[in-house]
Amino acid sequence: MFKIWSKAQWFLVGMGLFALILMPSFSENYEIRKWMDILTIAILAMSWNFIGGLTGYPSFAPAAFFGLGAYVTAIFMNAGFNFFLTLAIGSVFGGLIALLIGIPILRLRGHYFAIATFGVAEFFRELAENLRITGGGDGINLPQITGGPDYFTRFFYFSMLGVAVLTFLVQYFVTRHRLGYGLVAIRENEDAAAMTGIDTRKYKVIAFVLSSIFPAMGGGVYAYRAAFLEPIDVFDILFSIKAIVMAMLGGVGTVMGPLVGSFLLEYLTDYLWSAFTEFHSLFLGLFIVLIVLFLPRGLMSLFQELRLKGLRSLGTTLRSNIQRYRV
Amino acid sequence: MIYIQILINSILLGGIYACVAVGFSLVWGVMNILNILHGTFLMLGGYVTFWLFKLYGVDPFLSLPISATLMFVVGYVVQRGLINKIVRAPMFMSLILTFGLQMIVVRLAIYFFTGDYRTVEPSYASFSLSYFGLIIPFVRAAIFVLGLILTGILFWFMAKTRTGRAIRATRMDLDSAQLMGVNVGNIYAITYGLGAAVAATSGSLISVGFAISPVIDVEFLSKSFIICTIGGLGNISGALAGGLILGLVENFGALYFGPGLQNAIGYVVLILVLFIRPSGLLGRKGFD
Repeated sequence: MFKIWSKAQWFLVGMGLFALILMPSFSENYEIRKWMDILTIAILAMSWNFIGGLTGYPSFAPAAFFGLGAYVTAIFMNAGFNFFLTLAIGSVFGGLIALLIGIPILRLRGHYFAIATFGVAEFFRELAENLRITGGGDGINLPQITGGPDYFTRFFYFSMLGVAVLTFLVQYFVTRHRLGYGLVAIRENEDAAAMTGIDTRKYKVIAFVLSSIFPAMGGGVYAYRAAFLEPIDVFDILFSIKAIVMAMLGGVGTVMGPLVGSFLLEYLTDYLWSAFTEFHSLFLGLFIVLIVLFLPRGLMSLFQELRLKGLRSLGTTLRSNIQRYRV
Repeated sequence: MIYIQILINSILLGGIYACVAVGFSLVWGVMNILNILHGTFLMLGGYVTFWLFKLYGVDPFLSLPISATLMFVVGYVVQRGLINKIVRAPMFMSLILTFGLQMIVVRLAIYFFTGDYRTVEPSYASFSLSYFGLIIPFVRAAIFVLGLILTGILFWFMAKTRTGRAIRATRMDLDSAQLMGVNVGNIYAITYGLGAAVAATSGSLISVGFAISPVIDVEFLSKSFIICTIGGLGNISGALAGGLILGLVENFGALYFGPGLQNAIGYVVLILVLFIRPSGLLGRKGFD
């Protein structure tokens, strides 16, 4: 189901990356910051894809590990560590915690798993609000970056881009590897997958760990840029929801889907947000409802269908989408 | 003495928690929908009571049927018009859909009602009974009793009426129920409306004893998560037990670990129960 990409496909992705690398040379700081936010969400969406998309376990944990990574970076930078080193520490830390939590909660299925991950995210937030090392509800300051706004906007943008590229590559190789096929098998039928000799527990835990280390890294970059963290900001469950919605818009379980989804939706909501500042969440909510009703299998599958049947069938495809899952 | 007082407080709190969670459990159990809008219906019910009291001086306990009826209709329409369209999709679709709706409704509620905390204060708000130094606030006791009565009515409805039987049949096997002539779309909408109505009534009750604002929905939604997981799905006694346990754990946890960690303790219990007994304390195995 996942084909090795042809040279043309790699060429297109390379062009996209090239554009993202060149973009800061031609853009205002505001525009660069916007793209950095898009990349942040893209990292979360791609990471969610490991556990939610490929494995079919609806996790709300991205926010938990995003916040965890942010706080690890904050605490270690305050202790005098180098920024990039703290990113590495954060991701290792995130991976270890994911391993510890993943082993017990991945025994749960369906909504119970969703609620458990939700509980984990909320528990982390409550913990950050009450521990002394995290500064409690007052929040925590990070060392300020030196250099002018032109410099540090680009510094953070490229750091985030680096994390995003890493996430994308790992995602690509996992889907072309035995691991990716195993995960999809678990999604389709876990018992059958176990019968064919897949160590389902090990596979699920690996997927959960993979889906945790990249948000932790992204959280670290976010923390350094924000220079001040509050539990309510970084453990915001909206990070998880956004990740899921973006992945859904693009196409759950596909490689390009989460990326396309986050670029599109984040750009769109940002555009509307600047027009109607107060109603940002209203528009995001509307988009979510429309996506679930009309594109339940994502844009990628819509593209495929349109390529087969032609653009004229757009209306019928959308109509049949809304009929597909009704009672 | 303080322990007995805390025990009383916990039980009074647990009663309202049970009432909050019972509708959530119903919707989850019957349709396998994790209804993010549940807290939102609760919040709206609270505002119905608040505005009726503020604008027309309607006694909060008299406005219960009004907010229940109103939210039943809203819930019915939401399920019939939107959620029914994706009921058979992978389960997190309904979750995401209700989340999107929640964002819209809460944003509008903040716009129309403002984010201020409000509370309904009838003339008897501060009455309380006291025996041997133990204090039982009148309003909280009334909320507790009404919450139990409401839960009882729901229990009776599910067990004895034709619609209740149809709901249970649909829960057991959607396709067979359909073959037996149950209009599943309608039954689903009724179930969802019932869940919304119970949520709205508990919201109305909460608006009297506690403060409400458009964003309280998340707090009560996460409590519903915890209660349903502790108690187990699919039966009303599970929600009752879960509510009481959460009330006890929160109050005694606040006593021993400080009020700051009150919510965190709730999540710890949630995760512990999931580890030890994923089907909940009173839940039946395989019912998920």
